[in-house]
Formats: sequence, structure tokens, C-alpha cells
Amino acid sequence: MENCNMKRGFFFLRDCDHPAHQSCSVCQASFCSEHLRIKPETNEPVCLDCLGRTMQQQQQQQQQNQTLNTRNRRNDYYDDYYYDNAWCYGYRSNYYSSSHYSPWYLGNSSRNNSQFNDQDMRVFDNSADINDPDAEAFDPEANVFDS
Amino acid sequence: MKFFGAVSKYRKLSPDQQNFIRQGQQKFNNTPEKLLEFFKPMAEFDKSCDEARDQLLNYIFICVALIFLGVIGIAVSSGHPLAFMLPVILFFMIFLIMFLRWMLGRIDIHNNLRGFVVPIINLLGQDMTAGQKIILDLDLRGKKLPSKLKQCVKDDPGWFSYPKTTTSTFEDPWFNLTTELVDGSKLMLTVDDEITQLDRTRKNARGKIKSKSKDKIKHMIRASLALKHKKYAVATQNDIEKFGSDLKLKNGQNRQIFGLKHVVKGTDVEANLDPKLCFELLGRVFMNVQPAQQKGS
Repeated sequence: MENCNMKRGFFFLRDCDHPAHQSCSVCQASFCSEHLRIKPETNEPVCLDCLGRTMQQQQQQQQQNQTLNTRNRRNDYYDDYYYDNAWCYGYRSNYYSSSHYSPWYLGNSSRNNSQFNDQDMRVFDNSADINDPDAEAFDPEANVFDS
Repeated sequence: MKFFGAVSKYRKLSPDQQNFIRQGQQKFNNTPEKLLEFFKPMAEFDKSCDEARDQLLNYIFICVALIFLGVIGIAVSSGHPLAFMLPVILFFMIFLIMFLRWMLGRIDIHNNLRGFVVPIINLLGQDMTAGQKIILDLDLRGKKLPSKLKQCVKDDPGWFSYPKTTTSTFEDPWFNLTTELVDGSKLMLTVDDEITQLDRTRKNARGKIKSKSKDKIKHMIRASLALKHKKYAVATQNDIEKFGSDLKLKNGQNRQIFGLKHVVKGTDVEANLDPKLCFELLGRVFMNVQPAQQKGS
């Protein structure tokens, strides 16, 4: 069974290890149930990336349209998702394009069939172990601004 | 009426959540999922509460306008008893609405909870391993509490002499977050607000005494990232230009600590801080560091 095509994370992208459940009606890629939502307007499954992007576009349109009626209507739609994970994915997409940020990829690049290509992401060398034990603990009091 | 919706949402909150809204201050040590589970209903309640307070304020304006029309009605209707009753009822309604609005104000939490804290935890949670905890010290009690007053300078020329000026400075270190990210980096994010309140009393040309109060707020956002030497190449002084001139570096045995700060000035004490400012600081570090093996290659 195909795995979910979603990339988790914000500064660091990782593969989702869950099996794909359904296809997104917008990008047609397969995703697990955690990364799919039913879009209320169309009642079709949409992945969090596509849904998040729609939300961000609507928010930007909302900021451009200053008429009261439009603002109220779009606010209601947007706020339904505001505290959901979809907001993170939409924000991520907007952040990457506006600040030209290239996320680090912590995963198997051969499995990469998402919207991100090799130029979009930076990859660590496999020999750099993420989970190696570290003797030096972070001291919250040792703020660099105090020095 | 949005008031009932807000009250209903407040009643649905758990005793711990209601207690946090009343106290406004707590230290947390929990996973992002648990923290969001705790904060999200409060954020939704806060949004309803703000909408309800705005609606009640509109009702007050409507009542004032109707009283004005009622007074005209009294003059036109030449003393009809109903014409007298309407302004009196509206007058009492204004007091009732003001009381309800005050009640909501007592359980209204600062917009930083839903506009800053929830998005920050939501996004940072995406870059954390399962089960990793966030240590969060949050103080949303208020920015101008007497306990947060650091300095008060009075310029009083004496009795019946004007202008009199009082400058009060409050310090509010309201947000402190520490956690570990998925790459093993340790993150500390703090926000310290400094509020300057200027109260001025003067005498105008007609001899009337006028008082005016003005607030200024300065948000100091500080981000410290301790990156592992095994994971990232050690940045040198030559690299600092890439990160920005305000970067502070500190070298440890196993980690290099990057410190960045950003100051935002504003005039609205109640407005929430934009979480994007924090992500821009962290993004500047992560965008400019290099993997340990690739540096110099």
C-alpha cells in the first residue's frame, strides 16, 4: 500500500509514515486520514496543503477587500480552520514563498513525490545522527543576550 | 445575541481552563498536543467574547440614538405616556448592557493567547518529535498591573500649575518557551513587553482642565537556538553578516548558541503580537546554517 505523500514539519520536513487512505480532489496525490479534510463547500477530500493554501489565499483576499460584508463572510470561513493543522500547512506554504525559506529535509529523498522538489529542500548528510546523545544540556538561564 | 454564545462557551470550559482565564498566569510542561487541547477552547471562547463585547457596544450606541429619537418623539407627541416610557426603558437598558459588557471584560483574556501563543505552539509542534514537551511560562494577567510598574516619573509644577505629566513604565515578560526541535536543537523563545504610559493634564485657552493618556508598547522578541556541532557546521565571525548584525554567538562544547532579537513598537496595548516575527528570526538561523559535513566542501 502506498504511503501518505504529505511532508510533516515547518523548518524541517519529514515523511509521513502512515498508509495512504484517500486521494486529494485538488492535487490527486494520496494521503492518510490525518492529512485529509472534507472541504465543506464541495464535500470532497482535500489534503492539508491544498486546503491550507486556499485558506491563505482567502485570508489575503479578505485583507484586500475592505467591504464589511465580504470581511464578515470570509472571517467565518477562515476561523473554522484557524486552530486546525490546516492553518499550519497554509502558513508554511505562504512562509516559504514570501521569505524564500528552503526547509531541511530529514528523510529518504528517494521517496519524495510530494510538491517539494530537490531544489526546494536542503538535505542533511546521513552520517549526521539526529538522535545522538548529547552530554551538554541546554541551560535555559544561559541566555546569549546576558553575555 | 453573541453574549449568550460567549457565556455558553465559557461554561463548557473545564475548571482548569476557567481558572487559567481568571488567574492569567501559569507554567506549563507538556506536549504541544496537550497544550493545544488546553488552549484551543479558550482561544475560541476569547474570539466569541470579543465579538460579543463589540456587539454589546453597538447596542449601547443604538440605545443612545433611540433615546435621542425618543426625546424628539416626546416633543412631537405632545406628552403621550408611551413617549415618556421609551427613553426611560432605553436608559435602563444601557446600564444593563454596560453591566453585561463589564462582566465579559472580567473573563476576557488577552488576544495574545489566540493570536500568538496558539499559532506558535501549533507550528513549533510540527517540528518536534512525538512526546517532546514544551516548557511554557505564560503571564497574560495584564500589562499595566501595579506589580509590573518599574518606573514612575512625575513632572508636577505645583498646585494649579500646568501641564502636569506622569510617565509610567511597565515591564511585562509574558512569554517564555523552551523546547527541543526534531533536529536536536534546543530553542528558547521569549517576549518581553515594555509599556510606557504618558498621562498629561493641561489647561486649555478657555481655562478648562484637560487630561490625556497615551500608551506606547515595545515588544522585545528574543530567540536562542542551540545547534549541535555534530549536526551543523560551526559559524565563524565571518558568517555573522549572513545572519544579520544583531546576531549573538556563544560557543559551547557540543553546541553553538545563536541569539537573535527583534524589537517591534506599537501603540495598541491590547493588540496581539504577530507570530510570524518569531518564525522569521528562527528562519534566519536555519536558512543560513550549513550541515556539519558540507561546510567548506
